[in-house]
Amino acid sequence: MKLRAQSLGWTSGRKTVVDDVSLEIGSGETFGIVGPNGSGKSTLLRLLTGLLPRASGQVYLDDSPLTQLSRRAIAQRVAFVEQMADTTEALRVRDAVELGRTPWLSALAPFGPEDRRIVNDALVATDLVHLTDRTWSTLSGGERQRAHIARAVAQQPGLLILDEPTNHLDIHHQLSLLRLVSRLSVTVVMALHDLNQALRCDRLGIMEQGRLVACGSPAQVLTPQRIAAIFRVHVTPLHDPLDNTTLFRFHAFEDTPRHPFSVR
Amino acid sequence: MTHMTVPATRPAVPAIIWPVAGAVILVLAVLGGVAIGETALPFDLVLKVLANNLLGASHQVNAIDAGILWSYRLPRVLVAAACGAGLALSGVVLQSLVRNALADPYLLGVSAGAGTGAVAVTILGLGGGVIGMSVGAFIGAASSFAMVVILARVAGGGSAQLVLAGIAGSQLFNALTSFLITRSANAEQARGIMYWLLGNLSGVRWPDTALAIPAAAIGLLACVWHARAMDAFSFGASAAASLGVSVRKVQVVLIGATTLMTATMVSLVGSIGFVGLVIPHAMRFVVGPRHGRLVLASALAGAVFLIAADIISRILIPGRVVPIGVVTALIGAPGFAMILVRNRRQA
Repeated sequence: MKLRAQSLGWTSGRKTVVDDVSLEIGSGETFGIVGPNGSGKSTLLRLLTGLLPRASGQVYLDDSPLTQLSRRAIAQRVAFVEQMADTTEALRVRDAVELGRTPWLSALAPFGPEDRRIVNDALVATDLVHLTDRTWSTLSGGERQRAHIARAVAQQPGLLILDEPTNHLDIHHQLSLLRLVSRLSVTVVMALHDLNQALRCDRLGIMEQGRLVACGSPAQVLTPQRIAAIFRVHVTPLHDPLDNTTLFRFHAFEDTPRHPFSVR
Repeated sequence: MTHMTVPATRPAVPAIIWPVAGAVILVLAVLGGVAIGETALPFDLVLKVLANNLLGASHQVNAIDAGILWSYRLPRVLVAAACGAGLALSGVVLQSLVRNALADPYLLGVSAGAGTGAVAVTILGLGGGVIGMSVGAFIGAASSFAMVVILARVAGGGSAQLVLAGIAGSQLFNALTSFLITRSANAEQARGIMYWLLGNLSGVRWPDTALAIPAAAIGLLACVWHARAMDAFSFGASAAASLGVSVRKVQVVLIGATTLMTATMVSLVGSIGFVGLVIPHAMRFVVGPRHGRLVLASALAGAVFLIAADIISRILIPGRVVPIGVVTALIGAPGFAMILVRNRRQA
């Protein structure tokens, strides 16, 4: 599914949270959004799902404007995994994942065997089979996150939007989640904190103070100079001979005053 | 990846058994409610009177017994069942939509508002006789609920704020009711209204069933239709929206149905607390948190509970009727305490 956003904006009170963001994401692409805290990543993601009122600009899903689709039609195309969505209900993991079928069901089209199969597949894909009958309150943060991802997978979207999906996950589940996401045949847009994980995306956008300040391949966008300017850390690119990839090591400005990419 | 299978959850008994069992339980409760009372009526008499009236049979029965049974007890039991179902459903809806385990029409001030509206119409003659007590109760319930929700949102929108706003709303509207009564009612009226406000089914006659049963039926229909949407609210309104639920529409329909049910029940039998709070929680224990089952189970349990509470209110003190609100509070308050303790353990 193709996604196009045209001069998106959103203000809260007098503060402009997202400012004139335009981007185009191709079908099947994995697009990462990085940026410091408060740079507007989460708000941008919510704008892309049409969840925020009073937004300016327009979002197109495969050329249909989001504002002309019903919530149900949007939910059949776009799945969104928010940060920290929790419940006090004693839902089991299976119940939570079954919620993903909501946009496909109605009073006249109840949950059927096909839906059960899709839910089971999502549970298998997210490595949750052994937790199927556990209730929500007994799950760890990472297990909850995986259940949300499973729910989103069960929604069978063309576009998957994830807000910092690797938060709360141990390193094993971080990697297996990113691997799972990259193998899904859907378009993915995700906000990420870990710049090394961001390097694995097809393309990246960098947010700073509500604006999309750079957009392109990770190698183009995440230059040491730009990271120093936006994230206020020095980086040293390192080389991993195992798979011939580059990764970053970070240094606080204070510790490396004579770093080759010093911005001062 | 190794091949994995997910154990299927297959019900042990066919699904059809639950509605049938529910209907049987409800019918038994109604028959019990009709038979038990200050004058205990034998079961065969109950069946004969019902057969005479419903099927046009012509069994010989004592006219007084038949009168008590048909004109007083049966409508009373039916209204009790409708009220219990309506209040329990109101609790299910409010707990789901505001995501607060403590939400119920009584605690959130909806019942108090309905009381004020009903009293305003009865005593002040507000609306010039054009609008009935039920309409007055509906307006009162809607305004108090709106006030409580707005206050809670302004105060920060949390769970605690909603309950505190509910307390403020209940107090305000109860005070308004008392003020109206003291200002405008004579002593006789005042005693009658106070008694009614505690919850009382003594005055219920056949015409009341024509209000109570449709209100409960409309509410039940709205809840069944939106059961899946209420499930989607488990992770909050924004999560529900991203699952394709038209949040605003569902809120308007369900809150509207809740206000209608609460207002109708309060205008008929006064304000009865704890049914909306305790029944949905008890049913979550039995059938789980999914609304497809929870809605039906709560409606049934609410109906049976209020019929039972009404029976207790009639036989607890011989020769006197204890207000049914007192009975539900005596059972419900400890239930409420248990919910509080259980919630703390989960947190």
